[in-house]
Amino acid sequence: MKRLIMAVLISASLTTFTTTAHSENFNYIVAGSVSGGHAKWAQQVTKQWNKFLKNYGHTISLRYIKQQRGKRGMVEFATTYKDNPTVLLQPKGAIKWITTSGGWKGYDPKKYITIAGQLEGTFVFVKTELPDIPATHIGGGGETIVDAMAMVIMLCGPMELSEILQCQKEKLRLVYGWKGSGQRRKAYLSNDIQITRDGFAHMRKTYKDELKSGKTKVWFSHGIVDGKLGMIADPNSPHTFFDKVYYKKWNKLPSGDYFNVYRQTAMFRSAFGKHIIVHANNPHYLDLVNSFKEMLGDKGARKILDKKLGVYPWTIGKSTEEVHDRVWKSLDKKSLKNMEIIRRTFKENTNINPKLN
Amino acid sequence: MELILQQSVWIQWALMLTLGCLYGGLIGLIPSAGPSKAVILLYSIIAFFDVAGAEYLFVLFSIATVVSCSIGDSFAGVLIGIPGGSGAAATMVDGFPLAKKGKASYALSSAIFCSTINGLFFGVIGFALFPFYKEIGDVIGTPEIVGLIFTSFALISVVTTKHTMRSLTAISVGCFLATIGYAPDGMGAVRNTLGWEYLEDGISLLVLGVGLFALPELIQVLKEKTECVYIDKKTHNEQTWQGIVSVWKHKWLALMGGIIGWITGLMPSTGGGIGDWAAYSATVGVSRGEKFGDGNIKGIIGSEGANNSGKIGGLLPTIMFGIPGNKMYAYLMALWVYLGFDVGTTVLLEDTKFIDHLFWGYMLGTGISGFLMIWFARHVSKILYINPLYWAIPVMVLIVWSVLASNGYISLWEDIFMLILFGLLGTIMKNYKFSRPAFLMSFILFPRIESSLIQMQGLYFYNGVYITNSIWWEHPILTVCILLSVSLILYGLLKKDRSMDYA
Repeated sequence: MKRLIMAVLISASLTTFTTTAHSENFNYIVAGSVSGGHAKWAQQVTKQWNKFLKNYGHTISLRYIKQQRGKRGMVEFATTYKDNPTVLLQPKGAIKWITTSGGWKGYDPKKYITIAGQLEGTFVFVKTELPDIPATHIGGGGETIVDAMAMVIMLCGPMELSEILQCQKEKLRLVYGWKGSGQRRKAYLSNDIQITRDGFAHMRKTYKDELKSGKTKVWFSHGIVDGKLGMIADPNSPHTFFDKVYYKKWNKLPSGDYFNVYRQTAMFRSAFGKHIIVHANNPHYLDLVNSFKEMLGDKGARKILDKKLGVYPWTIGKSTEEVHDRVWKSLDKKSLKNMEIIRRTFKENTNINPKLN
Repeated sequence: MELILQQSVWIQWALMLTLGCLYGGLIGLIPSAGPSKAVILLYSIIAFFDVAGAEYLFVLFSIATVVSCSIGDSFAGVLIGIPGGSGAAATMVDGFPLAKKGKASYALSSAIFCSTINGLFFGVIGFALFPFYKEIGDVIGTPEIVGLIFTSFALISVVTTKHTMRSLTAISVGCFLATIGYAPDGMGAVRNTLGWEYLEDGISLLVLGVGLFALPELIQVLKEKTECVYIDKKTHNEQTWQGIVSVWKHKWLALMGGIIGWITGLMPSTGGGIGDWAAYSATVGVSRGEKFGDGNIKGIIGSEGANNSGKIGGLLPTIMFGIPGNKMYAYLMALWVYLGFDVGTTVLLEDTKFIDHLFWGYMLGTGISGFLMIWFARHVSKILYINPLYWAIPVMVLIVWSVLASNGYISLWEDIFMLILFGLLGTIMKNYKFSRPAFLMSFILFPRIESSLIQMQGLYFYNGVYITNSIWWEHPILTVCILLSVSLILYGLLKKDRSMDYA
């Protein structure tokens, strides 16, 4: 009996060894917590991707580094895994890097090559019956500032920067202290706050009943970034595009310094919100890109991804970098200075990264 | 997984339930681990369940893991004075002294039996009340959560110790340490880190908890190796039966604990052992003239009554609204979403297969775990009769390893330094009777109360009106809780003849 067990164990070990000897197991670092939005995106993508990557002899395992609000994951990638070709990173956007001055230890979002990304959009929901000064939530590491900026522009209309900063104080009540998205969703549903933001998936579940009963409407969507035009309408809800809704209300297209900063931030969120990078000269780059392409070309996998993540455009390899380049080019000294001024009015500890000056 | 799916449904269910119960129970045994860690570890095996047909088996497996771990986390608290999870800390207050008197089996069987019975009872009620949950959930908002946390602070300052001032000092220090790191407004400012980058994320709860409880208790166990009384198999069996009988004898206390646990569990974001401590405090409150903290079985029954009833309470908002009852359910929800379940939607509530797996996973998992744990208790409690030199050091190594591993070995030396620091602090607090449970609880709950107060400023006090604000009568739970908290603190300060001094 003992011999039989030994034989089984040895053959199992040999089989495992021979099937894995030529394969690489990649560590895919998600710069965020295991239950956050970034993690959910990574989980859905890797679930499908692994099916195609295995044809190249590789697999991917997810690892979550949530420390320092995701910054630690990016720093670890840039330092500890600097020379490790089996480590991939899904950074937590680029705005944090732009608006934080220190502690990046060599991490620079422009240094790496991109496997793929998805251009994402966000929706802003509003109660159809509003008080004189509606309330919204601010939190989540400053990620919701861009949504609040859009609300301010929509409520205040065309104004100079100094005027709109004053209007911001008068027309919108900012409620701080939110940590999880569950808390703010509950606060919105119980009418404690009257304006909120969420992704496409929540339109079909969290706000479904309120949308159906007419208590809530999609106020506007930020749209998605485009390689040529800046921002274009969200394909999931084209008629709610911010510019269209604004035009309908104010009879002119949005413009001005405040709007420019909003638009740049929205572009960064859309382009850099969900993408996967590796260090330059990664020997597995082609395997990763090609398997990703195959996944997106597969009808079954694509259908699942569309259902789970929304029908948003995907970019692969160079095409992602082209979009990113355009978004980086939209930044100039004036807009960075205004970004710092505006974000600080939302109590954010903003310090523009000196690398951009 | 394909092999399992080829078996009959009965075999699939039996396998998943058994594995869930064994795995959850095993993690529950590890001091300071608890259900959250058990669920986090499931992320490493989730891919096995990502096969058509296996998703429902995962629901069965995961919920059995949670309930089993909740039942199992009493072991460490009772046997070696280190709480398995934050909720089990209340059980430890009377359980550990009983174990030291040679009544470990008595303490464990009553804890496990009470937790199991209440888990089953409130499980049935919880699932039957699905259609009415919205009304309950609507009543609870930010002000109510603030009120409950204040009451918990007051209860723990007064109930577990007669040294109210020392307890309040411990709470203040716990609150201060909880301010270290990013400010709760989420806008990127860091506080009180003295420029040390390691502290930006705040002090790790695991490091603090283990340092505070594990190190001092293990050192004490090594010092007091002769204190335990050896008992034979017959006495073990007698104690086990006595423990079960005592739950029946104090059934109303168990029921009261269950109700408190279930109601606090229902409220979103009220983890951290609020229900367990509130139930323990209520037990002390209704047992006038009795000594607690020295091995009173009622203390165990009261707090354990809230254990699994709180878990079913927390499950309901998670699946019905997608608003996790606590951190552990947030992790679990993410796993269910990964497998394709639309958690928080009516679609899921119409998925009878999901509900069936959840219900039976919960009920059978609770029943099987309870049975296995009571049987198992006899063997595990023998740890007390072995020379501590043989097990205390390996247990310490296991605990330190689990702490370092949970942080991904990213800040190894810093974690070790903080462990030693909190070990020293825990020893000082224990010797000078500064309540460690109060300290731990304030550390856990302070970020929640601080962010809730910031929310309340924006939601209710934005107009600068405080005393005559309508919040006081529109949210009476808050008003009642604040009045109760003040009364409790005054009682604690004025009534000097209390005997309990657990620290």
